[in-house]
Amino acid sequence: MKDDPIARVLDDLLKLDDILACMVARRNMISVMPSGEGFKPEVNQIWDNIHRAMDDVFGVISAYSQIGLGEMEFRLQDYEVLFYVFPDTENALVTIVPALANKGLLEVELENARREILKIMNPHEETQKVIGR
Amino acid sequence: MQELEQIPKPVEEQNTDTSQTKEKKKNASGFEAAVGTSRKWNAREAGREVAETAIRQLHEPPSFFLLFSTIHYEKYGGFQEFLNGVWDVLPKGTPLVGGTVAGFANPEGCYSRGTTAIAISYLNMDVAIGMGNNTKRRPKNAGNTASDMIKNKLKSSQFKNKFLFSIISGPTLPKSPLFGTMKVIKNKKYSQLLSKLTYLSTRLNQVGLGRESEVLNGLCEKMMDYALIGISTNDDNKYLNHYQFLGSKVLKNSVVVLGFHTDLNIFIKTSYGLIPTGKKAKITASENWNYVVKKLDGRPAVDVYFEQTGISKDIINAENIHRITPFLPLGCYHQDGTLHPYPIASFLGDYLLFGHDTVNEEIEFLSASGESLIYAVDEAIASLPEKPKFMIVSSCAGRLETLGREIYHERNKIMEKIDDNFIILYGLGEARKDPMKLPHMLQESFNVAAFY
Repeated sequence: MKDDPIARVLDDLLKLDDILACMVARRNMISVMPSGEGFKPEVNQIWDNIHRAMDDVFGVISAYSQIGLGEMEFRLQDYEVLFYVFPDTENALVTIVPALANKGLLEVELENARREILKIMNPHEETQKVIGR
Repeated sequence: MQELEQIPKPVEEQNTDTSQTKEKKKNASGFEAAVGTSRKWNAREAGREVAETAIRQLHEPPSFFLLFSTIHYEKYGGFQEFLNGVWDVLPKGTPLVGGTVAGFANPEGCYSRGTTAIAISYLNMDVAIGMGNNTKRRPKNAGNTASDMIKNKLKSSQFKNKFLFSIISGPTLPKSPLFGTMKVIKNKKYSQLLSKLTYLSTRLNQVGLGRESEVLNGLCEKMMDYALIGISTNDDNKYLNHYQFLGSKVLKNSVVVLGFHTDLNIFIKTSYGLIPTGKKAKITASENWNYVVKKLDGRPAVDVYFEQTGISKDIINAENIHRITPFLPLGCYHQDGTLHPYPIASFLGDYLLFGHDTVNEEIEFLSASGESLIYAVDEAIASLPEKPKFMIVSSCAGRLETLGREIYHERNKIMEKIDDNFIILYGLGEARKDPMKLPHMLQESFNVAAFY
């Protein structure tokens, strides 16, 4: 995992105080996780519930990603789970943040991570499809 | 990005006598600009990289270096180490000012973590820096001190176009065991107590109101012939700690100012993207230097705010206050016609706390949408006379928080006018001034300073 460039992008995200967990995932499968110690401890207590809800959301993503579904989120207890869908795929960058986080600032870095991951996945393609150039 | 081992030594120690630089030297006013970026986590490494990525694009030492970072280096080595890293690379004696912001954009991207700098090298430019301390306790003195430093240094300059970039310590939220960070206090019986606490905390501890407009007035009263834009420092919108940079010093509760005289033309433009609703009210009671509005039309200000905006009190909480109220700010017009918008900083019982002081008793309720906020960029750059040599933009952290990843639209629009040599800063307040006119301390604004 340590040499996986996508894992390195996730490592960077996880260093932000308000990112409690992050991963690249699809329905029933987490494809890439951060290379270090995994998620922050506060997520553990609620992870099973979040994981189940995530799979349901991925059902929606797989149904609508081909027609342009780009972003989803849900709130469960004191946490929010954000999904940034990679265009035309059923994969998403998934992050878990506290409900009280300044989400706007985090979104800027999530978008940067999404762009970097897209660049790694498709090194020869235009990677900034959602927000213009 | 280069590894640190590959970073060249400071420019002053390098042999710069290459054919390329000789060519530059022949051009008496050879203008160069460069923007640096670092996304490294370690403070010292980030400092070195942001300076190195800018300086390596220049052939001559910079005339000045504007440096901004997010608050993250506080935890990853500290800001003194960050500046030490910058000075590992930057030529000794380069005028440097800067501070912490919530985020920034530049030709590389949009970021809410990292650091950026813009370095300008130009012979037809006389540069000075100034600073003043204790901005929350003695704001006008701080502004006067910075002004005197710059005026003394530039008094013999022959260049006619004059510009200031101010970086003023922004507001911080007082924290108390009983009230937390005082963003949303719904219990009305605490209104007066909270207002007094805010006043005392500002005066005694310098934790509280930014009082930037008083700093700005002190700075500009003897410098009326200058154009100015500026930014209030910020952290990651938690409003707890932020810093100003001057040379190799890390400061708090200070104003630092870059001043220059030049033969470059200066274009200043402010826009907002806010829509007047036609709903108006009169401030009938206020205190704390007009930051706290107690009554509107003789009634509790909080009640009038919720009535006129039509949103339910129950919706607002400490989590979302600064995501919702930027869409529903109040505004008033200065005597010279300049709009001053005020998103709500805190609900203190019956009272509204603004991030800056109100400049008129007559207020209007405004509204905004994501689209209108982004349109403000079009408005700001529509009348740019030509492609600028470089551009500095000061904007509001509330816009960044509100727009989130859509902030890329702002950068993309700027890049239609200038493909490099620009930085956009998102802070806790924006200063602007035209030559021979009064300065203004604004929020939710988009302020362009373009040089051509």
